[in-house]
Amino acid sequence: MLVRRHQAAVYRVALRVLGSEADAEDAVQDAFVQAWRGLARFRGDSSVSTWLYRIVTNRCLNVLAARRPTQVLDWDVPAMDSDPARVAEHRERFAAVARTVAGLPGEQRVALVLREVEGLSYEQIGRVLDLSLPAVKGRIHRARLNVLKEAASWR
Amino acid sequence: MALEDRNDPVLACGAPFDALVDQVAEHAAPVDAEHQAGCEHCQAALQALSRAWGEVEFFARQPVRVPAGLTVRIMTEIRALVARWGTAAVLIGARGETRISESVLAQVARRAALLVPGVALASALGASVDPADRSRVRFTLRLAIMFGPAVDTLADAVRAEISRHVSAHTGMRVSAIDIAVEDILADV
Repeated sequence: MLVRRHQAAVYRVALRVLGSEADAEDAVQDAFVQAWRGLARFRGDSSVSTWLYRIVTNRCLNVLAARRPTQVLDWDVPAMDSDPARVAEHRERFAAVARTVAGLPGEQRVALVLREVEGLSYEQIGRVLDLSLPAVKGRIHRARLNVLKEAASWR
Repeated sequence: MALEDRNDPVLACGAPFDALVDQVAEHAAPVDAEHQAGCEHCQAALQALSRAWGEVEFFARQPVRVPAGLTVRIMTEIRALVARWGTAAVLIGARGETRISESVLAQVARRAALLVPGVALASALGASVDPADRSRVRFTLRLAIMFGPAVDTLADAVRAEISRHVSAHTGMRVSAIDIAVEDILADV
């Protein structure tokens, strides 16, 4: 079933782009409802996952555009360790990069998440975002440079 | 090497910084491996980039827990939409929309068919609203007729009666009526 099969990826993108569980849940719900209503418009010229990525990233960009820039974000990092000190260090490392990613312009954030978190190819990202290959490469490259600029603040 | 205050597109050795960033992020082979291997500027930049990019990859690979109940929440929302929109005909008027479910349309068609002399039993298998134009409906009917009248004349009479009633009762336009005559009765 569409929702069960794809919700994890759709939610992951929304959470990493928006940085808030509540906003991500809303975005995912809106995305699936939109997908259901627009099902007739899915013409099979792209894969279902590409189509869902497209819907959820558009949704996320709308949320970001409407959001005040100072909004506080919550970072949920599953505890992978029983040692509380290591868990805390883990969270610290994660939050440092997450804050940097949250500071990127929305379009760069979306492209970076699709590439680094979802592991999509440049071609796939081009189909999701309706961009040419050079445009995708440029956007991801700019996102990487912007993220790396902040690296000194991570340690 | 400080990554934050790089304004120069090239390192002191002339190697392009952009290429090193992509090399590290993509885990790609160097463009000029021979130069890079022996160049202290390249090595320093690569080391700083690898350390920093490692943190990005750490961020990227953290698993995400899908909240419990998300599927249920999505499905509840979609089911509510289906119930509201799913199989209803829609007539858009100046003062609002009128929705008529397919089962109501099918009942109107069945009753209309029964008014035609010579029709003994009628069962409306379905009414399907045209998804592209929700004011148009197509019917499929099964009939048992009396022995006597010509079947095609009777079928046309049934079509005319259904179209008239459906349009009078519901305002819908009938795009087609498929009729299967499945039984012929000598007496009711």
